[in-house]
Amino acid sequence: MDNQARVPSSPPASPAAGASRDDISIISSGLKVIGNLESEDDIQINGRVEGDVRSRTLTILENAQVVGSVAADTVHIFGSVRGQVMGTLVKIAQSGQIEGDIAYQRISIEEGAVLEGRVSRISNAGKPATAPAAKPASAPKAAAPAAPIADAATGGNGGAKPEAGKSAG
Amino acid sequence: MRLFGPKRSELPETPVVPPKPSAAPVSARRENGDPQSSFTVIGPGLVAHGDLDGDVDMQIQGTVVGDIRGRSVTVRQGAQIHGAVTAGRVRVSGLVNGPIHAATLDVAAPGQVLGDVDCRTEVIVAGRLDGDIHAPTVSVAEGGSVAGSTHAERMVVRGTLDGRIEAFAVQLGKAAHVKGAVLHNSLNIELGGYIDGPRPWRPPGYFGRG
Repeated sequence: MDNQARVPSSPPASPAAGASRDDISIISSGLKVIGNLESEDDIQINGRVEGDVRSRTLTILENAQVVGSVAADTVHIFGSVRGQVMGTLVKIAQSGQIEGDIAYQRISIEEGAVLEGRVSRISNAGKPATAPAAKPASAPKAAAPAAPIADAATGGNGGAKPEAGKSAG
Repeated sequence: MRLFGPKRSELPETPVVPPKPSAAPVSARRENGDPQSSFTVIGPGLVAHGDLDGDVDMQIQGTVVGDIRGRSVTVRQGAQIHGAVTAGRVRVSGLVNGPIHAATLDVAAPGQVLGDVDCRTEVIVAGRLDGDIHAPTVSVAEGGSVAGSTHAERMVVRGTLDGRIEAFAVQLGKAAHVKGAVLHNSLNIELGGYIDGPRPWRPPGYFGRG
């Protein structure tokens, strides 16, 4: 059953392991990182990371474990995260498990995913707006309606001006 | 003598139905890359502040500030490691600022190692190595340079070496330039090879040989 790729020059059909994509980082299964990872490019985690991770696109694969906060433009979670999750786009697959708060601008949560923590939307200014925490294993729709409310709450000043102008004219 | 036959615990267990291979994890797996891969890549944009540990092959293109332990470690050109490297096979074309423990170490042309090296099999330096070397076989290729003392069984120098050599058999190529004492049992210098320093002969026992 041990069909692990032992020869680096002949990786299995993974585009990520190909030498042509040299902007991606892969933390393979069997590797343990104790410390922080920070990349301006993409990171794919299949092993274990005990520390904070920051990148452009971050993919945490099914058997991966991250203990620490993760932040990326796009966070794709198939595995488990114990810590804060922050992303412009957060996608949690059905195999995903998160124990920690999530801050997002756009989010999708598949049925079966396990969440324990607060889910809040980041306003465009970058501050996490306080939205009601979603229930664990909630459908993606549950979190979405909270967004406009949160937006209105924090961006009230910006939205008021055009309306004032309209009513005056 | 038993009156009631074998005790219950001695009865052959009811045959266990072999668990079916669970197809679920495989089918549940989606477009989530290749979970089998044991090949780690630290990309050029990545900075890792911490230690990397695992029985995997690693290709470092970015920066690691911390210790690395792996099956094989390749430090590409432009990559930097500030910490110790321990692996079966280590290839360095970038920078390693720290000691290296390996079976074989290959410092390729633009590569640089600043730290002591301890190898079980072989060290080849075609780049630059500043530090002491312990290995059965040490080769400094043409264009390569070493600054530090060397303990070896067999030593071949075709490049530059600044430091003391202690090796049972020493061979100097035509472009070799050695500055330091050369303690040897057998010394072979090609025409053009140069030693600036004493070259005392030592019996085999000196090098741990009978």
